[in-house]
Amino acid sequence: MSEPREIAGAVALYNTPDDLVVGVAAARDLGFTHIDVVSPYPLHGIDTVLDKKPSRLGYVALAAGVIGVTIAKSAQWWMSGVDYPLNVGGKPLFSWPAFIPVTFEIMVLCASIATVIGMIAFVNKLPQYGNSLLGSTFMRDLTSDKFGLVVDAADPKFQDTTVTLALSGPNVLGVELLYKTPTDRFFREQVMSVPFLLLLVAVAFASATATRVVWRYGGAVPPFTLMKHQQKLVPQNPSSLFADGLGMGQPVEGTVARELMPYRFANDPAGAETSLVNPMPLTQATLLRGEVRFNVFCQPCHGPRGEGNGSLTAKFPKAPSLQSKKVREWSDGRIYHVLTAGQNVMPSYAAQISRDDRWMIIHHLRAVQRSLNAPERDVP
Amino acid sequence: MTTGLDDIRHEPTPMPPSLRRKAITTGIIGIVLLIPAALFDFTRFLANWLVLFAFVLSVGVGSLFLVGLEYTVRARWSVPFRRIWENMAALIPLSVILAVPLILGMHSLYEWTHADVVAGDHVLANKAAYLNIPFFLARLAVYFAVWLAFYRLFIRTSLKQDGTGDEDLTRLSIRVAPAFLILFAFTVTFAGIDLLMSLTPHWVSTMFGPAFAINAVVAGLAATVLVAVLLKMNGMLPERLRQDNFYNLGALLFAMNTFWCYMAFSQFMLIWYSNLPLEMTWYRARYENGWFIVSLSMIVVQFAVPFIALLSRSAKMNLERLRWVAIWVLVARFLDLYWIVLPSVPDATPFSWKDLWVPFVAVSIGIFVWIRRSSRAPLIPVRDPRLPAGLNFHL
Repeated sequence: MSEPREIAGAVALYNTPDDLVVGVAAARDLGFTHIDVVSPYPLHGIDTVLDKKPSRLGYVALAAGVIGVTIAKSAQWWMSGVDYPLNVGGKPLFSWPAFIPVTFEIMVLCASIATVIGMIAFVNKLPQYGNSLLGSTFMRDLTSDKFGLVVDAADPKFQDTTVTLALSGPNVLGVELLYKTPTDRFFREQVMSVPFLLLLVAVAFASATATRVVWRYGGAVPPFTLMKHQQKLVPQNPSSLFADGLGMGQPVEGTVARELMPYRFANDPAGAETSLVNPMPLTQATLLRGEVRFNVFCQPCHGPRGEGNGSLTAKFPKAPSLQSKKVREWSDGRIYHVLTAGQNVMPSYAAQISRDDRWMIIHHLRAVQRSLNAPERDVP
Repeated sequence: MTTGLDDIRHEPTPMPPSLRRKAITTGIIGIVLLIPAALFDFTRFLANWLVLFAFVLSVGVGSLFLVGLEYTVRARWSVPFRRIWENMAALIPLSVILAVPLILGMHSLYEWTHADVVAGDHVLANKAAYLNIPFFLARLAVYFAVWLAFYRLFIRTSLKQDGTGDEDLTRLSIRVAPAFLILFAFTVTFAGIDLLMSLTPHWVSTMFGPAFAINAVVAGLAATVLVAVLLKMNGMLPERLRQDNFYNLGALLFAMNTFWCYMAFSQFMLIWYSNLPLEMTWYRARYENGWFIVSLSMIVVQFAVPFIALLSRSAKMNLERLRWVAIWVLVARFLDLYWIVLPSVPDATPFSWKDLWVPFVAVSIGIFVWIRRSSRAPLIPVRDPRLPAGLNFHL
């Protein structure tokens, strides 16, 4: 040891907890304030002898618990009540009884994590790279069957000779000075060195890879089965339960889809022309809805104004213009027939666009037609 | 540190005469209120009698549970309080007497005791194998047999040890205590189902029985904490018995009360969530006829107030605080049993003068039993081998 060693404090060794308590009282009588004890096991009641205040850790746990409750409640309120309103069995969207279990769990989680971190940070005062007691020759006894009284060098009454004398009471087995250990140099030079950190990274990669390989190819048994793996019928998946191997099964013969309405004029465009009338009222709402559906289904081929210049031009067979005199003079029913039954290359859109939407699209188309081919009476 | 037992009284501590006067006064008030209530509305009187019976029984078996718990976990901090638990467990033999009017009037309370009703009701007919009068009485007899057997065993060994100081008596109690805890769980759970849940025989909740068992523990604990605090305040317990021991009592009360709230809420939430007609009926009855405000107040009375009042470390050591929280929890336990029983009586509205006699009679019974038991033995188990460790307990 070439460096000069700085004194960190002094430790006195005692045989029994009772001797230690007497020693603590004597040291306090002498006016020492920065004292602590070392014991191989918890000494109940030592807090009162040392006059230690109860730990403040409880307040850390309380604050974290309150924060956890707040986070959990507001998160559930936001998720289930506002952002993605979910109706569960007709309950209110913000149904607080249902949210209590999650709130409780998050409160416990926050409080326990905060307590552990608070203990490490505030009570144990970590990170510390070492303790001056570790350099003491008493350490072996203090971890087996002896009890120590430590006076910190920060104590205003601390002077090494007086401490040595003061602690040499009748029951003291020995007194030793403690020196600050240069342990943070070890951290700086050994732990934070490039080779060691690289080794840590390498170990992390190696263990992750090994886990992956074993999991993927080694036939490892999962610790629990995932919920998605269940022995049940899944729509559109095969199933060995039925003879035909279909998970969903075939619909019963004669089954009709909901809201299906047979179309009378499938092969009779002239009938549609004369018989069908647009049932939708001409309002702003129906026009806007028609525009939306038009832009989704018609605009890609026919173009935004129905001029036959949609974005799919040259990639798809060219669609005719809807602004032609022929189409302008068709009745709504005739256009409805094309949408419903299809024409030439254009397929039927009956499956994609609902009946009402088809009529509303026609309202919109009429407005588009009029925008490019306005009659003279429209000019003010 | 004092380790001797020189400051321990080896003879019974006389209770102040004012206590006996209080018991007599409350008893007289109770009986004066009881007679017109019984004449006016006999069904409601019987329902209130069931509340009284369930409450007294809860305190009794809860106290006995705490004795068994101490032996099972070999706790030392609670040894100075054990005689209080043993004395309050004397409410169990008294409950046998309280059960007699209940059995005689069971036709007014329990729908399933009427053969004609059961015959015309598909659900009750299917349950008749369990819910019938002979089997009901046999079960009650078994419960009481179990409780009284362990009551006698625990109390006799403890009192015998006061004279002999024989350590084998403690070992005997420690050996049988785990068996008692298991039997306690079954008997009290089924007692709750038989006495209280069968008031509404169509309704079923798997949480009801366990919640009643925990209710008994909380009631026994609250009553005995109150007794311990009052004894300590009146200087009848050793000076050395310090805050650390009372801290543990407070912590246990805090934990068990919160546990009860957890069970009660679990029952409510599952039924509220699934909203099935068969299960909703029980809570529906507690939404109507003015019971809704009582039901809602449970959140504050049962949970919020005791929880906040006992949350901090210093609160559990503060005797004043412990005293009023113990009274509060005891009242809350009573209110809970009242809230379980009364809405099951057809068309019963909450808080009538016809119910006033119950708390008076209950308090009177409790004080009388305490005076009688405490005049027979010292207030703490003086020769228990673990007593010095219990008196010198540090957190």
